[in-house]
Amino acid sequence: MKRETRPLTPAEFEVLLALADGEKHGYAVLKAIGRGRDVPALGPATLYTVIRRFLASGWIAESADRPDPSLDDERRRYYRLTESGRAVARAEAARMESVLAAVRATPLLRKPRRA
Amino acid sequence: MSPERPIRWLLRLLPFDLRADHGREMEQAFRAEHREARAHGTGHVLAVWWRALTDIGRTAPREHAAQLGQDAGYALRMMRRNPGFTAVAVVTLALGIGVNSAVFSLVHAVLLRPLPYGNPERLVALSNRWDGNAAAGLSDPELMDYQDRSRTLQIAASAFAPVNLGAVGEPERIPGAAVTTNLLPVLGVAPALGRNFLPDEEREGNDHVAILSHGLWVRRFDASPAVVGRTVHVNGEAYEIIGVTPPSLLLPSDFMGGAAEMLVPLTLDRAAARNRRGGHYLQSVARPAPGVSLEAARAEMGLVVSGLIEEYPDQHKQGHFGVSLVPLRTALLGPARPVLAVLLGAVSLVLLLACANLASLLLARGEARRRELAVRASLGADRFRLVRQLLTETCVLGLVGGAAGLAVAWLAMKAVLALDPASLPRAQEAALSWPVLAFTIVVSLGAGIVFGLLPATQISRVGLDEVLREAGRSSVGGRGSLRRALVAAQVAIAVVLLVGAGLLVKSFARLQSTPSGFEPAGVLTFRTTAPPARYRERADVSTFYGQLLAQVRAVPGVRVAGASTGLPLSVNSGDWSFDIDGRDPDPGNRPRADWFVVTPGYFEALGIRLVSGRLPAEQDDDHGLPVLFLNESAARTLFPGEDPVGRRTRLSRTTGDEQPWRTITGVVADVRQRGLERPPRPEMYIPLPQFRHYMARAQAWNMTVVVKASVPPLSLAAPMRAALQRVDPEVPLASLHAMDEVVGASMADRRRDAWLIGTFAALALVVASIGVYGVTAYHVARRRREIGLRVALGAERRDVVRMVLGQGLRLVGFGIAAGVPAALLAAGAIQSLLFEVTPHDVSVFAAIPMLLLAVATLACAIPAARAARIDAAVALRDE
Repeated sequence: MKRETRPLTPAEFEVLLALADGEKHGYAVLKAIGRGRDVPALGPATLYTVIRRFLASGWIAESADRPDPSLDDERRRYYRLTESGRAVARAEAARMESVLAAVRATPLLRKPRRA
Repeated sequence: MSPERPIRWLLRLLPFDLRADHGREMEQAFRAEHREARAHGTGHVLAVWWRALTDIGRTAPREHAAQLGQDAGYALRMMRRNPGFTAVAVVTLALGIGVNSAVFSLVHAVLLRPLPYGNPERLVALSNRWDGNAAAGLSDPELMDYQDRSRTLQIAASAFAPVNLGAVGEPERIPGAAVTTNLLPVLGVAPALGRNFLPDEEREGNDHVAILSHGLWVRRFDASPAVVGRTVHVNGEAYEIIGVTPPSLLLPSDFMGGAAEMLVPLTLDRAAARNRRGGHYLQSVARPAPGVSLEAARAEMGLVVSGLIEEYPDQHKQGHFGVSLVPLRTALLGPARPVLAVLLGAVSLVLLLACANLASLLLARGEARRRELAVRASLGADRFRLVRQLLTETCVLGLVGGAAGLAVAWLAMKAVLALDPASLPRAQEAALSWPVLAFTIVVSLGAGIVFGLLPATQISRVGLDEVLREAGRSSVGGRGSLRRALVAAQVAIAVVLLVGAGLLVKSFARLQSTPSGFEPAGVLTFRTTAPPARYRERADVSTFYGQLLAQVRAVPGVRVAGASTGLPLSVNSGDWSFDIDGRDPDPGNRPRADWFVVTPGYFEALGIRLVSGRLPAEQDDDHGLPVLFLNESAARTLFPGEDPVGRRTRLSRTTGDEQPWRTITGVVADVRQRGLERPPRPEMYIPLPQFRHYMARAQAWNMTVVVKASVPPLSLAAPMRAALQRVDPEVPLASLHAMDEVVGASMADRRRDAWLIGTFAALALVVASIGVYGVTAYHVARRRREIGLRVALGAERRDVVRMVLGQGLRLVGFGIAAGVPAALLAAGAIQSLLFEVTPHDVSVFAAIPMLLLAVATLACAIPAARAARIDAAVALRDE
């Protein structure tokens, strides 16, 4: 499939990243991506188009519905990374790491010397 | 405020698939965000809403487009993979959509476009209403009275006035119009070049000014702006060109055929015209003052008419005379409406038939695709998704068909305009314009949905288990019966179109066999105008035509020649009232007859039969006894049970001239003067040298010369021009036609209707037959095993054939049973287009089902023969 050969979008990588430390429901993913901001950067509609795509690609899977004790009594659907999803995230992280290493070899991120 | 409802509305913008899978979760997430934001204050709540709007606003179009693109791409792949099916579908759709676009382009050009005037919706047509004539013209004094007495209406008028145009190259006779000086301002039209007429220019002496039509300006004056101020000769007199009309201008009078190429002022001699209340030749248009409703204007004109009835009891009789005001649009375009409505109805049926045909094709193909769809369904596609995908496929097919249909539309449009160059106003301006394109796209998508919806809902009703269970079994089931219903529907539609075509063709045949009262074969006709500048007196006009006819008769190949102010099926006249010697005149209800001025030789040239007395002769000159000739209708209605020859009549006085008593000297056979379908009216004929009538300056003497030739008539064209040249080189010759052409032109609209509906019906017959063939062949193929078994059990080939034929024809029978009542309804709707044929004509209603049965039998015969050849052993082994 074409989709798997193109690089991940930032939103897609963020979703994979948010699920890397354990399964979450959608709202928790949003909160994780928002990193404590009041209004998360990503909206639910965007989030779920990504989730839907990942489910179709088999990168994530659903877990059983259950309530989130920290929110309300409603049942929520939880998602977790699959093995292939984890591999994709790892590959992307590795790619980013190599990019970052290349960046570090340049003076781009060096702190300006104090006068 | 609870966020639930607006969020639910917003989410509805997202594609169904996404909502179906994650709708509840998205709602939960929004709710949770909203709840948290509320804890932080109003600013946060607003930020959450703004984010929700942008989030969904960005996501929804992207996801919809992605899905549509996916489905359309899939559809195109499917089309490429099935070139046979695709070709059949595209051709069927192209025909169905193409004829619709063609007819719509006509409807748009003729009916939908606004009239080419300023504020056209305010304009009204003003006409006299007499007994039996709802839209009669006005006479000079009536126009002046209406103009003078109405406070609410600006009234303008025009009259057809052919012009001999000279002093710019070849003399030419062109259609022109004498118009009141306020005509263009009332219409809300300004000249494209130069100026309009001044009010003063309608007075004799000031009236030698002319406005050119845009067409004439381009054709004869090279579109030169320097034309304003130039002098041309109009009917032999010098006129100054003062302006040019805008390009697309059609005067109200032009909608009845013929486009005036030059406008000259209508001169109203107010003093002299006051008492000539006959001569209703003016077509009038009026614009109510701002704020005045049509009803108010009608009420006012009603009072004006009452006043006139009191003042002129001889002319106008209470209850028999009135004025009608109709919106101009209705008056001008109303007559074109029925035929366009019928055409639109017919092409809609053609498209519906094409859709039914494609729907049954799709159903048949759906059988083959069910496995594919079942697999997709098992992979998680829900039914809605499958229907959407199938509809996308049919809509893509529809659009491709529509694109091909534009080519069909272009050809069809050219064909229609060639069949009928004149009778629909503005039709020649029809084009594949943007509105037509938009119409085509809408119809294409509509067709895609119509023919796709039924199969899609049927086919998508699949379960994997069902298909797998069915695999290898040859069951027909519910989808088969739906297909059969669709084929029956095609037959029913074909019945409707064929009956309509049958009725129209029969009407046309009736019309062709209507006795016209004259013999057109070998007759040549042309028109000339004796320009009033040089032929001012009656005697001059009479001499001119006398000399012309003498020259014409001297041409070799001419057997007999004459002239008349009229020409059957082409040029008409108004009526004129008269008194009959020995009967008490009944003012207000006098005998009337249409009048024509003729020369000797006219009746002989047209082969019009003499009934009693004698025909006009050279002795009927200025010095001879004043005579008059009647047609049979006049003789019958005015002199019932007696021979009118020898009786005397006197025409009503309409001018300063006293009319003499005229002796009725002959009665001639009736002629279908106003069209083959119009029954003859009472007519009278007056010899040219004895004619006395006020001759207005703008009214030149127009006569039609009729020549009976012993050679092919059109071969005499050049000798006729030469003959006219010898009499007066400045007088042009116009409307030169063989009389056969005139007869043909008078039937052009009926020929067009018969041809068009006939073509659509033939198309329908072919498509429906293919439908019958297809479904029968399909059944034979599906039932090979069963048929083989029957043969093995001892069934004769005859039985097999009968079974297959019976099944196919039963279907056709259902179609006919449904089609005949529908055809009865449709025939009622086209009644106005029929001639001497009732809408429930027995022979047509009997013949069409027979025709369909015969064709359907042929269509079923092929699969039946194939069924008869089925070998029991082979059929059973194959399964």
